[in-house]
Amino acid sequence: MKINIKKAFPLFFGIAIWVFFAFIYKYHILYIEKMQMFLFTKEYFIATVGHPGGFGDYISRFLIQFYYYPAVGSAILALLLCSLQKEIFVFCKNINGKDSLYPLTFIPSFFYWALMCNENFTMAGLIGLICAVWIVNIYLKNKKGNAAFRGLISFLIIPVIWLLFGGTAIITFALILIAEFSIKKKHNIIVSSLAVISVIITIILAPYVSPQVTNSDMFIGGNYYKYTDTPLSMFVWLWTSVVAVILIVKYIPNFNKKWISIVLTVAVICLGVCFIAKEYNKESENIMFYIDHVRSRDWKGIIKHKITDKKPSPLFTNSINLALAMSKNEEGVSLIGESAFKYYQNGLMSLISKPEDDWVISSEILYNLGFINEAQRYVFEAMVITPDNQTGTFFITRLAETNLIAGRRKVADKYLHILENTLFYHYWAKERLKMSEDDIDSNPIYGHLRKMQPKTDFLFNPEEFVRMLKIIFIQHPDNDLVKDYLLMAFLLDNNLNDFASLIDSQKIIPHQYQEALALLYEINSIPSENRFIKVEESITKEVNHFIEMYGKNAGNASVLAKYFWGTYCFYYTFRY
Amino acid sequence: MSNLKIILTIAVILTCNSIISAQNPQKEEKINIPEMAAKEADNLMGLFKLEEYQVFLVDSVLQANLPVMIEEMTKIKQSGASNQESFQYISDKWLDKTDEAFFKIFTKEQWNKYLKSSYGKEKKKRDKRLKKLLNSNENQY
Repeated sequence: MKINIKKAFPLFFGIAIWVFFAFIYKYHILYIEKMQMFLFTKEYFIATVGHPGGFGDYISRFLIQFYYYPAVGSAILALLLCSLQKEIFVFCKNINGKDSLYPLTFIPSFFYWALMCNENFTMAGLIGLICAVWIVNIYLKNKKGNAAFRGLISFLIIPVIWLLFGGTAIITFALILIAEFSIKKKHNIIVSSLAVISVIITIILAPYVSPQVTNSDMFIGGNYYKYTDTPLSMFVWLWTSVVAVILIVKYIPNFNKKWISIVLTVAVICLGVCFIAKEYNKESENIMFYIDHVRSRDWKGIIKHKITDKKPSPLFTNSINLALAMSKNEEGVSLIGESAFKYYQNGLMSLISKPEDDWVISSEILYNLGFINEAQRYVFEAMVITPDNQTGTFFITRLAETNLIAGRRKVADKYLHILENTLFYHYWAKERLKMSEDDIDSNPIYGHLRKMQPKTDFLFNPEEFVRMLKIIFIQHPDNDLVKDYLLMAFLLDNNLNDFASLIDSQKIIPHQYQEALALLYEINSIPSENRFIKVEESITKEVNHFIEMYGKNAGNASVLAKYFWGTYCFYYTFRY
Repeated sequence: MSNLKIILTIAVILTCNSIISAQNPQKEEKINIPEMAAKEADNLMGLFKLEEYQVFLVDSVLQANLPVMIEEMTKIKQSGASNQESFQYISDKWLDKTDEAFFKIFTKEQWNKYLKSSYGKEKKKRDKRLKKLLNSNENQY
């Protein structure tokens, strides 16, 4: 069976993109979707389109909303990247490019695939680029037509593309010139000159159209990148690659040897893999995994997630500790007390990061602990520092929830009404709009959190997180999560006395809590009859074994780690 | 971030703090020790392929040693001393202690690699300075 490389390559390419974004880079897709909110309103349309490149931005945002389902979002991305390759290929064909160099037309798509690994690059640039090549392809169809028509198109198309899609107007200009020079007998210098004049006029008028933006943003035009300091060099390289590929395909002589075609295909794939490997960010994918799972309260998923890092990021330890504290075993014992020290712990910052380091996971922790107003503040802060000033659904949904819980119905309704204009959060918002105060009270999450809110006002100081926990615990001694956080805070701080004073002897005590108690008894040489809370004999033996080994090995941490890494005894002894 | 960079960062922050606090007493920048220790532990983990428990121990040593070193440096700064030698002496002393702790944590291969790296070069420089200091003290008596 003969394989037609021209048909097979795009198919495999599309499938590879889809698999990559739907499975390997899934949480990036979900994160990007949550960081924006596409609204089906006239105001949103006007606000988005009302700047150079705004139309491309609008289409980009429209498509990104489908990232809600990663499989659909990945399919859209795959289609767009394949379309880019196809348009470049069609352009090359139109200017009589060589068939044998066909694999080169994949390079710009590979380049953009790599860029899309960075969550800050939007789809707007890709859409703009596809449209630019597509429009010039339409223009090329008229190459045998009269020069006056081509002249008119070349004069008008550049400012129009700039206004609609932004900086890809530059590539349109370059492609028009290539197209015009490739029309051998009908080449008209006036048509090319009109394109040049059009560029000059666009450059002169651009600052008046959009006076508030920087020069680099003026050059790019659209929102191709979420931050204001768009990495210009990336786009220059990308656009140069498009032009370079076209020129190579046009001017390098044709060769008919099959092996050269195969080598070229392999070389292009290798180059593409290198691009993607360079931009692939496993750490941020992991962070996005935790953000997604913490928000969706998939505690099992977090606990099951394999950790490959020897020293996980604080966001990981924050997430895993929250997941452990929210989960219970068959006996109803909290997993944080059972196994927290089996994971890498690093002092108090393992429980919650400083707000300047992270607003998002911290807001989730505060929300679950019952610090509803503070969680709301954190979410709001996270929303306002979003680089492209978009009010993401991630934030708006949580702002609606915190206001519902806190009883600020009108504010909650304001957010819910906004969400009613979205495609995928419409029903979510409708359901909550229908909720009465009684419904909220009886809701297992909202009702519980409403009860666990602080009863009095106090100034929340993240620097004194333990004190904040103590305040809320005094007001709600029945808040098990706060209690576990407080117990863990004492353990992480090696404060065994305060830890022991908080242990409830009436309940089943988790394994590592018992270990800490046994350690306290041994350190203070408390005889067994005076031990106010009983510890299982096997655990006391474990602790005694540790103490014995510590003495034998003169406190050599490396030796002890072989046997006791993952125990509280090890943490207590070597966390100075 | 090498040890030298840690010292330089601390020294710059201490110097800047004195300037900033003189101009605006409320805006004194805090040294984030856990963050500094974590970054340095990350760096050592990458360079010497440390195991999970070794990273924990390294981080722990740094979190214990850095605050004491900063405290001593602050005391010297507050006493009005401005000569570089005093700061150098304290940093050398604490870096030596840190190295002693690392020696116990690292395996033989890791320690040899450590000595061959920029950390080892710094250690040699410190040893030279210590020798010089001891010689000058002997000459005085």
